[in-house]
Amino acid sequence: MLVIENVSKHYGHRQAALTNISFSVSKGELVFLTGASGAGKSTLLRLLYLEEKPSSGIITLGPFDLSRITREKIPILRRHVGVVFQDFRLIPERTAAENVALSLEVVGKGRREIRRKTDDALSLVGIWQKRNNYPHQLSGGEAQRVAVARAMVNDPLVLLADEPTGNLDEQNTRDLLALLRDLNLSGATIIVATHQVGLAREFGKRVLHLLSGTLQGESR
Amino acid sequence: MRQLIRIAVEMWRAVKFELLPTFGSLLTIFLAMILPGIVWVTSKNLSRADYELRKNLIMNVFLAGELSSSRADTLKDEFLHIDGVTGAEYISKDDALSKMKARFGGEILEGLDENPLLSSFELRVTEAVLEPQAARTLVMRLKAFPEVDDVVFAGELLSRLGKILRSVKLLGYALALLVAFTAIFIVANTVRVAIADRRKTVEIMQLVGATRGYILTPFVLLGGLLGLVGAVISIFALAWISGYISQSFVMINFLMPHEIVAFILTGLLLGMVGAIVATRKYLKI
Repeated sequence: MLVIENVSKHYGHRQAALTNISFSVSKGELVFLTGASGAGKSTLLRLLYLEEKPSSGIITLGPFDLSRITREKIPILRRHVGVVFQDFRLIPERTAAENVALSLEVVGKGRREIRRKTDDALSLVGIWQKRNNYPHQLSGGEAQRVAVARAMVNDPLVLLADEPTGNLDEQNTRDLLALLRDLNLSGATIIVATHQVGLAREFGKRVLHLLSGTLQGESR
Repeated sequence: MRQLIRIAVEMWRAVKFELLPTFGSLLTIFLAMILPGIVWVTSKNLSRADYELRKNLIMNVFLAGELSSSRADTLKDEFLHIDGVTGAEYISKDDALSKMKARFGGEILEGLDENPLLSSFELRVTEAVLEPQAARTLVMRLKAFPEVDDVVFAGELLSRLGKILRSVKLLGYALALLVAFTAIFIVANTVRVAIADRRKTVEIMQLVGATRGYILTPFVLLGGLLGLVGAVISIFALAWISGYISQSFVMINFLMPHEIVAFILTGLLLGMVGAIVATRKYLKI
């Protein structure tokens, strides 16, 4: 479903951020992308939601050829890619439910459908009772769950999580990873970038290792 | 409807933490737009005065004494044969008196034993006579008649008025251009601040797949609204100033309804252009 072939990314004449990366992810897979800070994990994810374009190589995600996509089509692609960040990136002046609803509003869904899907997504991540809370009224773990609900509410082709546990304590980290595993069990394709190799290995899922922008191999 | 509500909410969110700067921008737009408005109203009224005067270009030819009716007729014919004269009317001393009484009331000449007014001819002349050289030639020709005592013509005043009118219009164009740039600049800055304030929100909207149009429409409309409200306040202020001048000094004509609409739409357009200028840089990938 996701195919990455010989993808490189470099900025000007500086050292390449990514060099000749190739791998693929099947539908319904949960894959961990590990490596130290600066290894290129976030850069690789940014190429997948087209925050940046690869300098060379081919990326295809479902029906989208990301290497050739036009600027006008980028919003369409992003509606099919859910992204979760370390810093949650919730809109402070919107409630939890309004933050989740945003993903549906931008695609022009009706009010009733927005309400229903938002409630479903918030229930799925176990935070429905806090739907009317603003981000500053939520704990880190709760805020990250809202972010996951926002990323999942449009049934994306893939959920990308960039250091999703970076701001969470140990318990919340385990809870969030358990949530991601549950979502994966119910069919979601997920790529998690993390520097915590041990945590990734506990899951017994595929783990890709990045070092200085190159793919060093994979393990389970 | 839902879209409109969304846009209105987004517009409010864009300015709610920047109320004071937004109000400042509005005030500046108002001040900027009132200047060309004043020039417009002034030039419009000068044009009207100029048109009225040109339509009735009159040369008053005062006579040394009263004429017999047959001499008045022949003199009238002779005047009408002169280049630049298109009409002539003999005003006897009595006619002049009754005209004056009709205009200023009977009391003004009370106590006088005899009619002090002069008989005269009112000559209607062509616009060509506005040329100082042509006016001088005509006055000389008229003065050559033995019956003519003096010739009075407002031509010089008119040509001066024409010059003023041209200057006012030029000033108006220059001001309008300056104001257009100022308004665009002010709105662009306000919208730029509003976007910068909401940078995080804008990024998140992009992330979940919002199109440029979806994100930028509220900002562009915000710019348009700033221009529109600024123009509306300017119109009210202009109307008040015009009313005050009309009551206290001289009757002046205010803008026609379609001119008011054009003025306000110009404000709206300038605001939107300013906002587009500000938003153009954003959302590039």
